[in-house]
This record gives sequence, structure tokens and C-alpha cells, in this order.
Amino acid sequence: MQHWNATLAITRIRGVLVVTLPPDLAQHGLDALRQAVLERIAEERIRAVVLDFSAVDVISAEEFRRVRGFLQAIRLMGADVAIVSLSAGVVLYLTEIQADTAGLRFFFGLDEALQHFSQ
Amino acid sequence: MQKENKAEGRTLVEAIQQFTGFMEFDAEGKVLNANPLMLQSLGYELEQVLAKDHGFFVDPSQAADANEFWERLQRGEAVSGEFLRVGSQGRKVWLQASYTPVMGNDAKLHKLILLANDITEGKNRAANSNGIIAAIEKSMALVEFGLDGTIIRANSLFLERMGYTEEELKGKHHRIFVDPSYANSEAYSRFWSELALGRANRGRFERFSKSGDSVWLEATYSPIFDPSGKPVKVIKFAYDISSQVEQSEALEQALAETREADRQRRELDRAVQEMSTPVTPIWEGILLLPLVGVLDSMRTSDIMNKSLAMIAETRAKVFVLDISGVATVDTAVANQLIKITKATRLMGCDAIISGLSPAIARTIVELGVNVDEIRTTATLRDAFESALLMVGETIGSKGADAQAG
Repeated sequence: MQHWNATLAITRIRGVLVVTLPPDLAQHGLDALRQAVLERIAEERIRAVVLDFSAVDVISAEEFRRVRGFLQAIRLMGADVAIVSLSAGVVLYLTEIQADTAGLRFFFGLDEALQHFSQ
Repeated sequence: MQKENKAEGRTLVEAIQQFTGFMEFDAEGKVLNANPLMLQSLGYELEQVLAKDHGFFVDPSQAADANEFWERLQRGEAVSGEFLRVGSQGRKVWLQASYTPVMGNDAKLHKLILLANDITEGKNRAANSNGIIAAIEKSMALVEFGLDGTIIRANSLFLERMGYTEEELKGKHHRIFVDPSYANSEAYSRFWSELALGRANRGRFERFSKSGDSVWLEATYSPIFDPSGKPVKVIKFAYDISSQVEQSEALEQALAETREADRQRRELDRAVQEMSTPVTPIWEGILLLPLVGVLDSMRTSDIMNKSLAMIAETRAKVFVLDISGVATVDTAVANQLIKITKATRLMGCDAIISGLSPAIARTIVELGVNVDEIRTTATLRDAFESALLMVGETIGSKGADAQAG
């Protein structure tokens, strides 16, 4: 079984943490990722965290709920958040299940998000 | 010496009687004796036939020849041939027989010896085969060829179908029935060489009549072998299936036309679908979808799929959904529009719904649809202006740039 290596999935670019989500958003992996990200925010000056969904082909309602909780925790730490690179399939699914996306910021890709947070 | 001759004669008679039926008649034609083979063929015991008249065994169909038969025997002439006789219980018995008169010193018929072989089984088999052949001749086209394809004979069905007389065909080659290009081909040479090797060929063949008309035959070319197993000729049995082939071709054509019509219909459907969701890039980063007509769940789903695909393809930042052509907006339609705008937002693309008439605005409010998160404008022009601002451009600045350039 492949384990997600959290250290490899987190990159800092101009004060923004880019977190590439693993294809498998299982509880264990996401918890480890959250822990690593929150510790980085506490230790460094992070303006924003961008969750990159480019590797995620499918997502369940429960997994999205956990991601949302992850983003709320980051916000509480004082960093801005955004989601990028949602695939059309994932978007259709989230729309169909009427997932709660209020207050979240979405960008087409990483470039757009980084550009936004650099302004 | 005389004694030896008699013994030899008796041995010869015994040997003949072992394999040949024997019956002895007196001058009046009454049975004097018969051997077991003859009795077995006729199905009688000796006691049942002794003193019976010859006529007792003659089939009524041959009774008319009796006078001539006896006249010849009276003259001392032997009579031989195939004779139809009647056995016990009226059973027909065919005999390959010879009647030999034994004349007395007075040159009158003294005795009559009948030697016969029972050929009933062979006769019946031959009749059966002849019946089968006659039936085939009546129902199938039949042609006999030499091993090189030369026509030996053809039956009336074949002649009639192909428009030839037997004289016209006799001695001609089979190639007169086939397309000239095929007749000169290697495949055609192989066709006959395979048959000459004794290999049958069966299938559907297109042949041509004397008048050049196409005739489709379901045919079997069967090599015929001599007793040593060597092919000696080829017989072709054929059914005319031209009408079936024509029907099948007509059906195939009809199917092709149906497929073509179906393809055109699907093309049309696709075109209509394309036209019903014409998502168009109108500026760098701006997509426009002018909606006209009625919105239902199927169309909304198409709009959603196409819009998301176009956003992914063009990396658009703003999606303008113009509903000025939409006939009515009810709760379902409003919810569908909200769904589309939410979906585009998840792709990182802001949506603007333009073309809201006062009536539609009032309806939406009255329906209680939550439109807080949706950006809306009254006209497409307003939406375009907002979209330009969102992508960091204005018409004014473009115009100024153009003038400066």
C-alpha cells in the first residue's frame, strides 16, 4: 500500500504554501497532511495556503467535508485559503451533491492563485 | 465312359443350382420341380408350386406377351431376359432368367427349364435411384461437364434459365457463363483444376445468361469418380437464387439508407445540441453562452458539461450566461442556473447571468430563490463591461490603445 509522504506534497512559493492533495483522500493521509501544514503555518510566516486538486479524479462528500474542515483550521491560523485545479468531473459531482462551497475561493490553476495572492 | 459323363453332368447341374434358381416345367407349363433358391425367391414351399401353371407366376402386366412367349418356346427357341413374376402374397419378383426348351424326339416341346437369378433388390435400387435423379432433374438446374469444363449436357431447367438450347451448349466451355475478366483469371483456372483433382466446390455464384443477364446460383460442383476413384466428370447442381439475392441487395440498400438517415439524424441532433449550447469565447478569458428557448434538465446538463469543458479548455475567468432569450424562468430553471454558476465558480471562473428582464427579476424574487451569490445584470452589455473589468480590461482602454497605436 502506498503511503502519502506529506513533506513532499507541500511547497512554499513566495509566502504561499502549495499543498498538492493525494489522489486518495483517506482520513489518515489527510490528517497527517493537515498536521504538517498547520505546523508550517505556526512556524513560518504563511500568507495563504493553496490546495492543489490536480491529482484528485474522484472525491466523496465525506472527503470534501474533511477538506473543508482542513481549510477552516488554516483560516483559524490566520492564513488565506484557495482551491485550484478541480477537474470537471469533480466539479459536476460537488454541484450535484450541493456541497457547501460558500466562502471558499477557487482558481482554475496554480498560476492564477499565486498571482492572486501576490497582489 | 457314358457313366462318367453322366456323373460330370450331374455335378455341373448341382453346381449351377447352388447359385442359380431352377424350375422345371412340363410341355403344358406345369411345374415339375424347383430348387430351394427359386422357391426362396418366390417365397413358396415346393408342395405349393408343384403342378402349378406357369401363368400362376406371371405378373398381369406381362400376361399379354404369354402367347408369343410360348410360341417361341414351342419352336425350340430359348427365351431370356428380365421377367417380372409374382411370388407368394403377391410380392413382385424380378428374375434375370432364361427359359430353355427341351425338345423331344418328335421335335415337340418336351420340358422347359428355367434358370434364374433374383434381381429384385437391384431393380428396386435402380428404380429408387432413377426416381431420385428424375426428382433432381425436375427441381434443380443440372449440368454435366468434362473435367476441363466442357459442357456435356444440361437439363431443361438450366437451359431455360440461361436461355440456351442443348445444341448451343454441347461442347462449349463453362466460361461462357462467367464474366470475361473472371474467365481469364488465375482464380478461374484454379476453380477447374481443383474440380479436376476431385475437390467439390459449393457456394453462391454469379453467372450470366445468353442475353447477358446476371443469374445468381446456389450451386454445388461435384466431381464424379469412376470405380477406381478417378474423377471423370463434374456435375453441377444449382438453384436459381437471383430473386433472393435481389431481395437481399434491396434489403441491404434499404438498411444502408436507414443507417445513412440515422447518421444524418444524429448529426442533426448534434448540430442542434451544439446550437442549443453555443459556448463561445468572446474575449481573452471571457466565455459567452446566449440561451434561447426552453430550459429543461437535459439541456441544463448539456450546458453544464459543455461550459465546464470550455472553461477547462480556454482557462476562462468569466462566464457570461445570457438568458434574455429564455422564455420563462421558474423555480426549476432558476435553480439550474444557480447550479451552473456554482459549478463554474468551482472551476475558478466567475459567472454573470445577464438579460434579466423586470418580469424575470420579479418572478425570481417571488419564487424566493436565493440569488445572493450570483452576479446578475439587466443587459448583456452590462455583463460584458463587468466581465472586462474582472479580467482587468475595459473597452475604453482597448479603444485608447488602438487610437494610440
